[in-house]
Amino acid sequence: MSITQLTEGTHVSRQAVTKHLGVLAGAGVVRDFRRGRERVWELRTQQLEQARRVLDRISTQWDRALERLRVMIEDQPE
Amino acid sequence: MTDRIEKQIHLRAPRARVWRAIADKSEFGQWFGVKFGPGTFKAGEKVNGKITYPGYEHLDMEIEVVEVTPERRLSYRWHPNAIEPNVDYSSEPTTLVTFTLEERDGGTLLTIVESGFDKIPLHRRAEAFRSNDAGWAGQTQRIERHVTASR
Repeated sequence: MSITQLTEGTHVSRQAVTKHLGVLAGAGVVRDFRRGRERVWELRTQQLEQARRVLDRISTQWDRALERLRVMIEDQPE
Repeated sequence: MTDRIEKQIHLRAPRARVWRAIADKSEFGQWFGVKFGPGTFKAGEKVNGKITYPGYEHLDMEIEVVEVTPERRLSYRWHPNAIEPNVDYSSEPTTLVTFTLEERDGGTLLTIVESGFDKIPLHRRAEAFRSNDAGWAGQTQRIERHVTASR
């Protein structure tokens, strides 16, 4: 989508949208390319899915670590 | 996206016992899967250790202890899952891990919050996870065997 499309129907300025897109691009969530004279932005869903998967994995690691903590404490109560 | 992971576990043990399992470096290492030196965590110190987790033994782990309030709260900063040995993560932002202990129902309610993921380029680590999948699966089986054998 172009900046024009992204700002349509909103009260957000082009400058603000451009700034937000810059932040999202830095995080790898969106990327831009040129189409003719226009700069077009696309969502990088694959990146989002991968980030989500990593978070899920970290979450699972905590679950397992806490289960080991429980076993340790209940085995060695003193 | 979510910036934080929050976990709660109710442990049938007094708060002092749970605190020791978190604040004592060697006890922390036992359940977390890392070998630190002796002693307890001190606010402001950096602590280095060797990961003892099967499949991850080639890795070092470093945490920077932020807060130690006995039997109530301990927090540290680290690079979560910095599991690629050839990558220098030191310039990347850290997450903050906070353990909070409360007395609850004759035991201890332990809350763990890890926050700050929004600033970390997590997608770059997805590839590393896939290659380590075998290590985690093996570890789970080892724990099961250990727990079953000790009963």
